[in-house]
Amino acid sequence: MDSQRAKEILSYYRPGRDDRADPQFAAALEQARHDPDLARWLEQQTALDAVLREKFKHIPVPAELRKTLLAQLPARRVVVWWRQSAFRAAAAALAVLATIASFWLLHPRDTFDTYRQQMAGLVSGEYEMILKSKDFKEIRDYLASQGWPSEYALTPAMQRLEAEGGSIIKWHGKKISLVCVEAGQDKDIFLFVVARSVLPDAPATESPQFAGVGGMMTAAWTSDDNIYLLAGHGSEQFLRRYLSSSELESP
Amino acid sequence: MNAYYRPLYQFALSLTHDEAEASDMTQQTFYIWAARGYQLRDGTKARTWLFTTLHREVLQTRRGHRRFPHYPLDEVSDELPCISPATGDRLDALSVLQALRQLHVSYQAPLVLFYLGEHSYKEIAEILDLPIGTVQSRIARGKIQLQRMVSGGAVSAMSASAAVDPK
Repeated sequence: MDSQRAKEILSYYRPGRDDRADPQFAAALEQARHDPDLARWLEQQTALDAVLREKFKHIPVPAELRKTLLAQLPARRVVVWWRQSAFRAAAAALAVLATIASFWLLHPRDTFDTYRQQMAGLVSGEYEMILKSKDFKEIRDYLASQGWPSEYALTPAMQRLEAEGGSIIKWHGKKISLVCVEAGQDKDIFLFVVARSVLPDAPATESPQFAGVGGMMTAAWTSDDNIYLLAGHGSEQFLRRYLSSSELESP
Repeated sequence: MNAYYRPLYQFALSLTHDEAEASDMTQQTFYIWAARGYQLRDGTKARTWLFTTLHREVLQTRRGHRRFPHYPLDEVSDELPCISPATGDRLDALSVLQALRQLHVSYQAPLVLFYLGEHSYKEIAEILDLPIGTVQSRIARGKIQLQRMVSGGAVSAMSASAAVDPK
C-alpha cells in the first residue's frame, strides 16, 4: 500500500468509532506506525476532524422544534406492542404452547424480569401519555377514576420535578399505572406502579435495585402494597438523583 | 424522539441549507415514523430508519425542485444564505455549513454522516443506498475539498455555482 492510498483510507477512519481491526484500517494504521510523515499527517487529520465534528454537532437546532414535533405526533394511546396485529397473530399461534408450558413453568411471563424488560421497552422510544398534565394530583385522580393503582408514593426528588402525564397499562390482565416526569434536558423518567400481589417474585425491598435494560436504566423497589419501577435514559447515577431519599412521601 | 431529533435536524439542515425546510423535513420524517414506524423497537434500527427516510425525503424534494424551480426573489438578488443570521455564536457551525454547501451534493450527505458520527459505515451505506466503498471514497474526496474551503477562509467568497463534480 502506498502512502497516498493509506492517506485515503485513514481520511475516513474515525478513531473510537470505527473498528481498528478492520483489515483496511489495520493496514493503513500499521503503515502510519512506520512512516513518520504519514503519522504526522494522521495526527493533524484527526485533530482537524475533531474540530469539524464539534462544529457539526453544534449546528443549532431551533428551540421550538421539539415541541413542534411532539405536537404533531398523534397522541399515542397505550399502544402495547404485544397487542398489535402482528403480535396478536404470533400470540395466537403461541397460545397453545404457552398453555402447555404453563403446566411446567409457573407463569414465567409474569415474572418481575419480564415486567421490567417490557415496561422499559414500552417507553424506550417516543411515548405520549394518555393524560398530559403537569399536575401530579390530576394524574393521580385520573388513575383513580380509571380504577388503576393510585395509592402510590413519589420520592421527594420526583415531587420537586414537573409532571408530564400519566397512562394506564394493562399487562397480562394486570393494571399498571404509569407516571411520566420531566427530568430536564429533554429527558423523561417513567414510574410504573403495580400491586405487590401481581409480581410475587419482585425484590421485596425498599432499597432500589438497579438494572440496565437495553439503553435504559431501571430501579425497582417495593413499598407498602406497591412495586415501583423507575425507568429512564441514563446511568444508575442519573436515576439515583430521583431516589435521593429512601423515604417516600405522598404528594 | 428525544434521542434522534437533534442529529436528524442537523443532517437535514446540512443537506437543505434552509432552516425552515430542515424543520419541515424533520417533522415529515417523524410524521412518517408515527404513521409506519412505531413498531421499531431496536434503537439502532430506528435511528438508521429515520435517517434513511429523511434522506429520501430530501432527494424527493430536490427532484421536485428540478421540475419546479423555486427561486425566492431576495435569494437570487442578494445571494444571501437561506440560514437566518440568528446569533453571532452560530457562525462557526454555520461557516462549516456554508463550506459544505459549495460541495457537490453527492459529497454532502456522506460527509455530514461522517462528522455526526452517529452511524457505522454499513448504516451510512444503507441510509444513502450506496456501496460502502463509494461512501468511503466520497468522504475522502469530499473532506479534501471541505477542508480546503474551511482552512482557506474561502467560504464566503465562493458561489454556489462552484460545486465540484464527484469523480
